[in-house]
Amino acid sequence: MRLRLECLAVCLLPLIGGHAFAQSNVSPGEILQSLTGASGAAQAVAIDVNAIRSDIEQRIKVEGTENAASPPPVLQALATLPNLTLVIEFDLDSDRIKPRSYKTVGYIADALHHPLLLSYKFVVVGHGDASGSREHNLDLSQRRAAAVVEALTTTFRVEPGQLVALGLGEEQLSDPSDPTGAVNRRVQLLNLGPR
Amino acid sequence: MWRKVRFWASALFIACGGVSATAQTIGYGDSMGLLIEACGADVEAHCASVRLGSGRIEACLQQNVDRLSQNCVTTWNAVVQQLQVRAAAQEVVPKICEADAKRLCSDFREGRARILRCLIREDNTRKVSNACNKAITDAGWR
Repeated sequence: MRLRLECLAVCLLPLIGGHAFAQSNVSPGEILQSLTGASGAAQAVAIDVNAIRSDIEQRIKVEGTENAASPPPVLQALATLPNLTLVIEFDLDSDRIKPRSYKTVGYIADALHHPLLLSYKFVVVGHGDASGSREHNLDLSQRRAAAVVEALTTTFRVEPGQLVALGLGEEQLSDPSDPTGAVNRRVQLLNLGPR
Repeated sequence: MWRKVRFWASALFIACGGVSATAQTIGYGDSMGLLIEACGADVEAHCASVRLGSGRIEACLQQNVDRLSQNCVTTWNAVVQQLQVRAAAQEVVPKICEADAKRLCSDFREGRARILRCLIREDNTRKVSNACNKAITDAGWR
């Protein structure tokens, strides 16, 4: 029960505007625990990354939707999934993962190879801060999420069917009161349930 | 030539206790920690625009092998070997543990992940064979 409460705190805090516990020093055990969820019997969640992307592209064209207090409806469904927020550092305005973050990506791979997570599907979500245009940030975060997925499925031999990449740009800031803050630049892993 | 360097570098690394030959295998995260500690400066110096994945960093290091620090070459080769040991261990667990799985996990539905989850359950650790337990440890699933 204690595990469950801790997991929920990690899952929900970013949504109510608190700071996400983005971690750059995580242990494989912590990753496993966060992504397994308490119930262990999550239902499969269908996710259409292309639909989410076009939904956000439409939303960007509408005035007054910047830094909206509530996430787009399509994202709210994802908010309750077992998840983990991590810091993976990239070169400035680039999808090149900095070598000092290889270890974090490696630990994600170790967790995904574990029998407890082997049969689950995950989405790697890239989030950016609000410097620059929303379109640019959406594109950059999509490329960064894809870069993490590529590293995981090639160098670290995770099965490609276990992962999808999704960039959310600046559409889901971790700290809307500090839109350009580093706390917003993060990678989230969400457990989509059995694959 | 490169293979030979790799072999001796690995042997040296293991002999020096970098990764003990009898200890647990190491996984991707710990490997990357060791690798970047030893090769981080080389990666930034010689592969500054190379992106991780699809063998690009390995190819870049290989192209610049004459310019890498000795510590980087040694660690890199040891890490490659350790990762192969773990990947091989993960691969062979289902076979090594087949009899244990039939005996202990008969109520489990088919599926590799389900059977593995049964075998690594704490209450089964004392019941599975030593060979199976060792394979699970080498696979990094403790």
